[in-house]
Amino acid sequence: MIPLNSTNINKPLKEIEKRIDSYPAMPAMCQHLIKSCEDPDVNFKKLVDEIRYDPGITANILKMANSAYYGSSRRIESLQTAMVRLGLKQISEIVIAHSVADRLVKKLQGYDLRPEELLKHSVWVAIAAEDLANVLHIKPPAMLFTAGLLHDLGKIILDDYILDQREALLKATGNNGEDKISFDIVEHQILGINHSEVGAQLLENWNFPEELVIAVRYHHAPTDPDIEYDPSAAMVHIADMLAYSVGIGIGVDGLQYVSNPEVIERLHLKPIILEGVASRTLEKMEELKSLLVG
Amino acid sequence: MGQIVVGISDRKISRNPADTLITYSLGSCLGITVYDPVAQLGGMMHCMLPIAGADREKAKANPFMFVDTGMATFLQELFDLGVTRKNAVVKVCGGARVLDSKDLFRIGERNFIVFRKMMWKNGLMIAAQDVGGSSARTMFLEIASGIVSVKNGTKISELK
Repeated sequence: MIPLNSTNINKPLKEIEKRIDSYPAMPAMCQHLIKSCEDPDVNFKKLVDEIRYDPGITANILKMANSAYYGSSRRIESLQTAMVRLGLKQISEIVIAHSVADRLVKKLQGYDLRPEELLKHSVWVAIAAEDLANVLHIKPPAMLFTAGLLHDLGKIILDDYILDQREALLKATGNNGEDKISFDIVEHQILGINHSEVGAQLLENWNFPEELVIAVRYHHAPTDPDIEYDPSAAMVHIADMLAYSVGIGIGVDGLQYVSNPEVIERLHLKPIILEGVASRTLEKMEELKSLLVG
Repeated sequence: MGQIVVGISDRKISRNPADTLITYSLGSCLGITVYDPVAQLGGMMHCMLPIAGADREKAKANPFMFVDTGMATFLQELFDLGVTRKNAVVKVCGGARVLDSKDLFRIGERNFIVFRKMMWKNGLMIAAQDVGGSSARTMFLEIASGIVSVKNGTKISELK
């Protein structure tokens, strides 16, 4: 964590914290499904009955289950069949993705992101992080996709403050020359908190699992001394850096983020591996994004 | 008519003077414009990765994803429409990178190397460029005038 020294504490922080606390929680079903995924004795039939009560969620699950994205070949008519076919993990990912898509789809004026850009970026990171685990033959952490999807949630809250402080932020990033500072560090310096910390705080408030909170909080600092090596944070970090590299969701922050050399070494990453991930992810991102907002 | 957006791994060609071709969010990707004042048409391409070797299947389905296959296909299309090597004005921007001490994310640099090689192979010169650094760029090409401008970070200027 970046130490909060006394000179950094300024007015917006208190206001930002208030906004975090009043930001509407995700639908209760999201958390219920995450818990169910972790429960080996989950009562599947009961869960199907609970979901059925929500026609919106049911319709979304059926739409996704019947999409090419999830490799559907035969038409699935019932929720039960969809849930068996896709499995609980994917069902929970779908429900969370649908619940968060509306929030990520908006234009962010402060970050200079056009409508849908943050959603595309989030979907990209979710898909690329899983693809990266796959190509490196690492068993993907259970919540990796969702961690990718939610990693920049904090930007929604910070956006107004980024707009207010844009000049100070740009000045502090050291726009000329070699001494550029990572944008998340500048956010923390100017606003007293950065988008990773805001996102993690939101997830904590919603009682989301610690695994998710850590991956979101440390996605720009995956080897922070405060945590043990966290594969989710590490893979979300690389997928995020790749998204910035290829220009998915870059705005006023540009490509001003620092890649973590320890993670790069630990995962034995090579440019050709990343280029493969990028080429596979682009198309899937468009497909999934259209399913979420179409 | 009007603003025509070129997506990632795509290209657009126009001979309508009312059109402006635009590509957003260039990071390490390259935005490449070709304008022929005599043939009176212009095109813009947005390539993501340097070489099709990274994913041959994808390159077949979409050659514009890669600089090597993208340039070959794009230039052929333009030549077929009457653009000549002598009159083609080629401009390029993008090729940025994240702050990366390990040189892993050198996609932009690799993109630009492959781009220059393809230009040389085709006997073309770069008329103007705005590449490197770590800011996001947006590129515009006005078909009426051939003027190319680039929004680099928050500033817009003509690329000449």
